[in-house]
Amino acid sequence: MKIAVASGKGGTGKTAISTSLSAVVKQKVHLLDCDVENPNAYLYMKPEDVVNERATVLIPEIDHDACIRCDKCIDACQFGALVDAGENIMFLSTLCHSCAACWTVCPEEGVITPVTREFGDINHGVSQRDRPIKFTEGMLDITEMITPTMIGKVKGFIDPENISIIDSPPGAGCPLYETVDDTDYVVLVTEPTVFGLHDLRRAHKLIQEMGIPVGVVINRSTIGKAPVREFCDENNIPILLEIPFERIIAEKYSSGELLIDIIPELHDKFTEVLNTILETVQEATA
Amino acid sequence: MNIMIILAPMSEKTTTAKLSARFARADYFAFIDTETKEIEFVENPHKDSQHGAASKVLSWATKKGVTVMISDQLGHTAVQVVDNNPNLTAYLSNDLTLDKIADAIANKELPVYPEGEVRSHGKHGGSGSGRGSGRGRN
Ligand code: SF4
Ligand code: SF4
Repeated sequence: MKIAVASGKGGTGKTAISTSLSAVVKQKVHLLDCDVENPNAYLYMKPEDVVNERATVLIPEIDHDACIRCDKCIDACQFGALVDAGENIMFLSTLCHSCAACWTVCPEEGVITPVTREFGDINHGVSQRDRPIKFTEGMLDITEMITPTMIGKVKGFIDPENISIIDSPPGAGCPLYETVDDTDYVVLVTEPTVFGLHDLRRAHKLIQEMGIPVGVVINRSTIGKAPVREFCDENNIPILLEIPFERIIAEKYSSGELLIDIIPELHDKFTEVLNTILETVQEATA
Repeated sequence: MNIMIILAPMSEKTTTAKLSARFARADYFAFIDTETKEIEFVENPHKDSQHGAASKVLSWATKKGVTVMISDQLGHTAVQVVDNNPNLTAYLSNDLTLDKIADAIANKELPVYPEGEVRSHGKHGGSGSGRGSGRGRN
């Protein structure tokens, strides 16, 4: 089972929710940090025996002398990574999504060769709490922009035997789509501020269009007056949990403690949240 | 003066309008032919492109013989393309209206990327031949 934890905007406490949620799972559990531009779940999970591998993609290498400038590759590249730069075709590696269209379409044999390019790190480890939590994170190299490609790489380590908790990137665009695609449930983390509600609306619209069951966690539920609860009611979105603002949470969370360790009563609440999700998914797939 | 085709991003099809602040996602592009003085407006085919709009626009424009682009917002991709294409020069609009652009370039009144200096057309000593006068335009 795959549960994504997302938020329309950064800084709502999405990682606080995903880490505590994974810590209350009784089955085999795997936390995957897909917030690949800024992964920070490791700060809370403190994984051990970390193994690093470099993430690679295939990119085109063009033999400019042999190229006949039919420009079929430029037209085939839907990501704009190949550009007519006058005499030569220019390749913009940061835009390339390794879709293989260019070397497939090139009519001249051997003019475009796919070669390997490194673009980030994937780290694996195990967080030793009362039960082990498998941990995987992706981290794009600085200046890399192929966020969805990295997310796809990280999701490639999902084992269907586990309950996978996926920490999603902020926003409501391609990276969120790539992360929640093919998941069974999405937890949207928000806060009752004008910005929180605005971003919740956008993220919810996307998830709803994708037909994935969704529930909301209202973090710092006492800090704003925006009608987040009313929005959830109107759209039949269950509110899974509300966490009031408390200074002790802010202080201890910033030093790397899990929510359920800071406020032990939250342990049972997170267990209830998890059970609600599991039941919803079982009903949806029954 | 060399014959050139100038590409200018526009939000309306009016020659007395200022240029669009957006480049790759502008609604229209004006193609100014400095030989015939003709201005043609074309809808931006890559306006709604999810990825790589700037590079797609530049490939498309290069095919239409463009050697000069005007943009007040040169993004990362456009900078790389301009840096790598010796036949493409980028200028700032200096807030002029479209009908004043061609003369301003001819009179060396517009700041050129990347120096930000006022300079004549052509990156290499101002003697660029401006490839393709009017070819391939639909
Ligand atoms: S592999 Fe795909 S994205 Fe990359 S340059 Fe080729 S066509 Fe474009
Ligand atoms: S498709 Fe192949 S031959 Fe044609 S322009 Fe591209 S690299 Fe050159």
